[in-house]
Amino acid sequence: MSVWCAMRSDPVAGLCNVRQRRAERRQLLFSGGLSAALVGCGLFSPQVLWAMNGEISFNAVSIADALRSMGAIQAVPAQLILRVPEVAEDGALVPVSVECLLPGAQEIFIVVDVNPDPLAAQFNVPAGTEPFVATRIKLAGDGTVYAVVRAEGRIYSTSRAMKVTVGGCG
Amino acid sequence: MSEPIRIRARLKGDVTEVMVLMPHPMETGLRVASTGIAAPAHFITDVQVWAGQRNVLSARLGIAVSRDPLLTFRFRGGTVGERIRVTWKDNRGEQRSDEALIG
Repeated sequence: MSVWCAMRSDPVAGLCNVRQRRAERRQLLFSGGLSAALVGCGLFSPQVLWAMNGEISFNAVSIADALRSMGAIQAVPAQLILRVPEVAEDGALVPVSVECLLPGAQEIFIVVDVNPDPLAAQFNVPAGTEPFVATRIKLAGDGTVYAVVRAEGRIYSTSRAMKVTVGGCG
Repeated sequence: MSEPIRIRARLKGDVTEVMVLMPHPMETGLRVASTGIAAPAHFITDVQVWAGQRNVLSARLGIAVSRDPLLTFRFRGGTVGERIRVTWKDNRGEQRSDEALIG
């Protein structure tokens, strides 16, 4: 946050071209959003975040790295099924469904790496409810959608890269 | 006042499929409107679905969920005529609750 404030008060910043400033802002939003999202959903312990804080604040940490660092297991495709279109014409309306065939699934997360706030949605699945959800999300641009599932205390993930003709940010 | 939630719940075999459509702008707070001013964030943060007294789904939504969120899910143990109640809350503290019967 301090970097952002320093950037704003810097008189030279006013001379930067707008596109570059937007890109910086997006990166800061992304990094802030990522840490907030992962702490918020309880995936990341504060200790891990603390250890990674420097990296998170100043580099765009990839979701894949974040998942790896918290011990997520790459799910076998048949166990965790993420359905997204290969190409979406409208990034504001992208159908997504997640179906989990692993026993004991308790939580389902939908995460998008290109979005300012990567955590799109979190679902708690009580006993008796099938570990399946379908919804529609926004994608800022071409990116990767991750389905993350917490089942019996372990975290599984799968991902699909997709293209977006018109981003869903405007 | 927000528009009513549309709920469709159908029993197929022993599984009830529920579709929920919640009319809501889902404004991210990052979008710059034609006036040049960012449209303030306004989005649903929490959704709860109950079948009778039983909680069958709870969801936390972020700004990346599309306008007029649509959720589809399935649960076991529903009966025809049982009441499905959906409640949402948004980041401004507004909320809405609607009901439908399993068909």
